Amino acid sequence: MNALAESPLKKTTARPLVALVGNPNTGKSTLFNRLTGLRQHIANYPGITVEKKTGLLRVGGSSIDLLDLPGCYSLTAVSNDERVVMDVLGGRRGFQKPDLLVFILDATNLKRNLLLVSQCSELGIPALIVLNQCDAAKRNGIRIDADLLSKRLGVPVVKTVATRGQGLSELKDAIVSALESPSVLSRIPWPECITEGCGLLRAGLQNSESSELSQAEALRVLFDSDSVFACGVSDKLCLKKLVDSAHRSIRDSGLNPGSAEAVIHYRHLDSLLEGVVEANGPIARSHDSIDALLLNRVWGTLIFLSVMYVVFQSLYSWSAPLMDLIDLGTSAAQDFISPFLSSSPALQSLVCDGIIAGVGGVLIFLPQILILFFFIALLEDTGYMARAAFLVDKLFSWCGLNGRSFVPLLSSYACAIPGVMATRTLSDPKARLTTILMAPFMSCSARLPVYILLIGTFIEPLYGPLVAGAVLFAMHFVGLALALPLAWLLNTFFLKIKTQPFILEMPDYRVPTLRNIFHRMWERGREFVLRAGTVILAFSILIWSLLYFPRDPSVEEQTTQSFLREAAANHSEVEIQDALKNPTSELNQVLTHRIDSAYIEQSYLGRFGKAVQPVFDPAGFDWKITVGVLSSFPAREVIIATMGIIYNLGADVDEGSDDLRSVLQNEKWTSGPRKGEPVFTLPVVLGIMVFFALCMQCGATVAIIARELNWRWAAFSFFGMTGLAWLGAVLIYQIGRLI
Amino acid sequence: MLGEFESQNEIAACTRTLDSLKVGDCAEIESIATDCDRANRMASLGFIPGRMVRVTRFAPLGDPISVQLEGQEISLRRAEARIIRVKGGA
Ligand SMILES: Nc1nc2c(ncn2[C@@H]2O[C@H](COP(=O)(O)OP(=O)(O)OP(=O)(O)O)[C@@H](O)[C@H]2O)c(=O)[nH]1
Ligand SMILES: [Mg+2]
Repeated sequence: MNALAESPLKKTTARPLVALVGNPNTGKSTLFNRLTGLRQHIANYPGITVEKKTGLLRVGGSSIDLLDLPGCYSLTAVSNDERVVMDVLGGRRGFQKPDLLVFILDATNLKRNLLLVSQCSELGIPALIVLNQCDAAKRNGIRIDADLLSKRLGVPVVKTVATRGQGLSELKDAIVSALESPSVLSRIPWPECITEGCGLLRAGLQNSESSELSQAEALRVLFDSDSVFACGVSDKLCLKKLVDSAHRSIRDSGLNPGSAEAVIHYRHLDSLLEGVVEANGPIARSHDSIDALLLNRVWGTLIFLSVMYVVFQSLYSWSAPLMDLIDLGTSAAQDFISPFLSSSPALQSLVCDGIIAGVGGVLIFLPQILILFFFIALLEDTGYMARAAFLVDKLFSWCGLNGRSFVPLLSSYACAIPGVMATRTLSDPKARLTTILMAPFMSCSARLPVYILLIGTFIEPLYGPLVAGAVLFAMHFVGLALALPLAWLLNTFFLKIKTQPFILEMPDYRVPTLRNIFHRMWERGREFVLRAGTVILAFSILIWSLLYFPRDPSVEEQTTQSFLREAAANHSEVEIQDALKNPTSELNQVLTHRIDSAYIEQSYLGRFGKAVQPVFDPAGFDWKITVGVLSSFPAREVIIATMGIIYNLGADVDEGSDDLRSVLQNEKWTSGPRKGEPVFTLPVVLGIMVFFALCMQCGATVAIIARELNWRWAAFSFFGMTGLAWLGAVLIYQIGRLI
Repeated sequence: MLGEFESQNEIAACTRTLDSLKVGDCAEIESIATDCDRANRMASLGFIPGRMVRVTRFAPLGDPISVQLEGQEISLRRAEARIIRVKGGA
C-alpha cells in the first residue's frame, strides 16, 4: 500500500471528510446511520438518496465527518445523483474533496460494483473497500477472499453486514487507520489508444479553473460527452474536434468508443477477481419463483391492481378520522385563543383565521402523507416497487414518462407535494421534469371536498347515488386523462433534453423492517411540514389579509341598518332589541353572517373577484363563485369556508353541510341577462369541478416545483394549468348550454 | 487482443439484437451499436461483449423486457435492447 505523505487526521484545521460511495442499493445509508447514529432514508429501491447528507462519526477521541452519497453505477454523469457524486469526488462547486473514499460494495455482485471503484482509481483519493451484504452473499454460496482482493486493489478491505451491524467496529478502526496511513487504489493499465487520446485532450483543453486537465478529468471528457468536466471546458468547438479525433483513433484500434471504458475496466476486473470470488455452483436465486408469480402477465397484473387498490382505499378511509381530529383540534385552538384577543378584532382574525387556520391547513395533509409513505416504504423495502415499475412502464413510456413515474403520480393522488418530491428517484431528467409537471394534474385529496359538495348537492339528488359515485370516480381521472397526452406533446415538441435509457435492476426481495418504515413516514412528514408547510402558511396569511382588509366600519353599519329595516317588518322593536343583546339568538346570528359576507364583498379580494368576474362569465361563474375560486388559489380546499362566508352561513361549514347545500341549490342570478335563473346549473357545476380538477390552486405545489426545478417552470405550470382549467370550464359550460 | 472486443466488420448475417429474442432464449452479447449515446450506460451495467444473457420475461404489455446477466435481473426497454447485438444461443 502506497502511503501518502500527509495524513488528514493530523490536520488541526478541519475534521477529515470521509465519503461513502457505491452503487445504488448496496447499503450506504444503512451503514451511514449505523456509523453516525443519525437516521436517513433506507429503501430497497435503487436511487433513493439523492441529496448528500453528512453526519458525525466518533471513533475513540477523534471525530470524522461522514458523507452519504447517492448511489451510482458509474462516473458517467447521466442523472442528477451522478452529478452530485462527480462534484463531490472532483471537489467541485464548493464541495470539499473527501480525504477518504469508503466504497460500499454489494458482495453478491462484486464485479459490477467494482466498476465504479476501478473508475475512481484515477482520482488518486485514498480509499477503503467495504464488502457489505455478506450475509446475502453467503446465502447465495459466494465466497470472497478479502485479503487477496485487498492485495490486488492496493487498499484495505472490510466485510460487513450493515443491517445487523456486523463488522462495524472493524470498519471504524479501518477508517481511522486509513486516515492515518492512507493508501490509494492501484490504477488500471490503459491501452495505448486511450492514453494517447487523453494526452491529446490534456494538451488541447483547459478545465473550468483554466488549468490543464488532469488524467482523471481527461478520461471523463473522453468517455462521457455530458460529463461535468466537459461542461466546464469553455472552448466547445475545440472540445468536440479533439474528442472526435480521439474517438477515431480508439475506433481504429478496434474498440467501440461508446462502450470502451466499461469493456476495458471489466476486462481488467476479470483478471483482478481471478481466484478472489468463488461461487458455489449456479447461484440459487430466491426471488426467481416469486418473480414468476408477481411478474406473470395475468397474476402479476391482478396482484398489482389489488395492491394499488389497497393503497388507494386505505388512503381514503384510514385518513378520514385523523383528518377530522386535526380539524377538531384546529377549531378547538381557535376557540381557545379567540377570547384572549377579543380586544383587537384584526389581531384576533389574523391569529385565528390566518395563522391557526393556516397551520391546520398544513397539518390536515399529514395523515394522508404518512399513510401513503407507509405504503411506499413498504413496497420499496420489500423490493416490489421496482417490479411495479417494470409492470406499468409501457403505460407511461409512450408519453415520455417511465415506470418510475408511477409512484410520484400515485402519491400525487394524495397530495402533489410529496409526489413532486418523490420524483427525485427518477434518474432521467426529462422524465423527471415531465412527471413533476404532470403531478399537479392528479386529483389530490384537497379537491375531494369540492367534488363531494357539488356532487352531493346537485348530482346525487337528481341522478341518484350510482351516477354520483361514477362522477366522483370520473373526476379522479380527468386530470390524468389530460396529463398524459400533454406530457407526450411536451416531450415530443418542446423539451429538448436527451432521453435516458430506462434500465431497472431488480433488487432481491427482502423482509421490511418496521423501524425503517416508520422512519420513512416520519421523515417525509417532517419534510412536508417544514418545507411545504411554511409556504402554505405564508400563502394562507396573505389570502387572509386580502379577504380581511380594508374592513371599513361603515360596511358593518350599513349592513346592520338594512338588516334592522328588514327585521322590523316581521318582528316587534322589543323582540329585535332582545335578540341583538343575546349573541346566540337566531336574528343575531343571521346578522353576523350578513356582516361577514358584506365584509368579504368589500374586501380587496371581493372587489377583485367582482372586477374579474367577466373573465369567468363564459364559464357561467357569478362573482361569488369567482371570489371563491380566487380565494382558493393558495389552497383549493379553502373554497368551502369562503363559500360559507359569502353565502351568509359563516366559515364553519363543511362539504356535507345541509345549509350550504340548500343555499347553493337556491342561489339565483341577481342581475345581468340571466337574472332570476339558478346560478348552479348542471353545466356550471361540472365546469367548476373540471376547473378544480385542472387548476393549480395550490401555492405550496407552485413553491415546491420552484424548489425542485426553478421559478420559470413553476410559473409555466401555474399559468398553463390555470389557462387549461379556464378553457375546460368554459367548454363544458358552453357545450352544456347547447345540449 | 483488443480486436476481439468488438469488430464492426464481423457482423455476420446470423447476428440478432437482444430485443428479437424470445422468453427463455440465451445468447452471447456480440457488440453494442457503435457510437450510441447509451452504449456507455449499457456497458457499465454489464452489457459487454462475450457475456451471456438470458431473456427471462416480458412485461404484461410486452415492453420492457427482463433479462438475466451475470446473475442479476435487469429490466430494459426494447428500444435499449435493440442496440445490443447478440449471437448464437436460443
Ligand atoms: N441482507 C442485507 N441487506 C442489507 C445489508 N445492508 C443493507 N441492506 C438492505 O439493502 C437495502 C438498501 O439499503 P440502503 O442503505 O438504502 O442502500 P443505499 O446504498 O443507501 O441505496 P441508495 O441510496 O439508493 O444508493 C435496504 O433494504 C437494506 O435493508 C446487509 O448487510 N445485508
Ligand atoms: Mg442511500
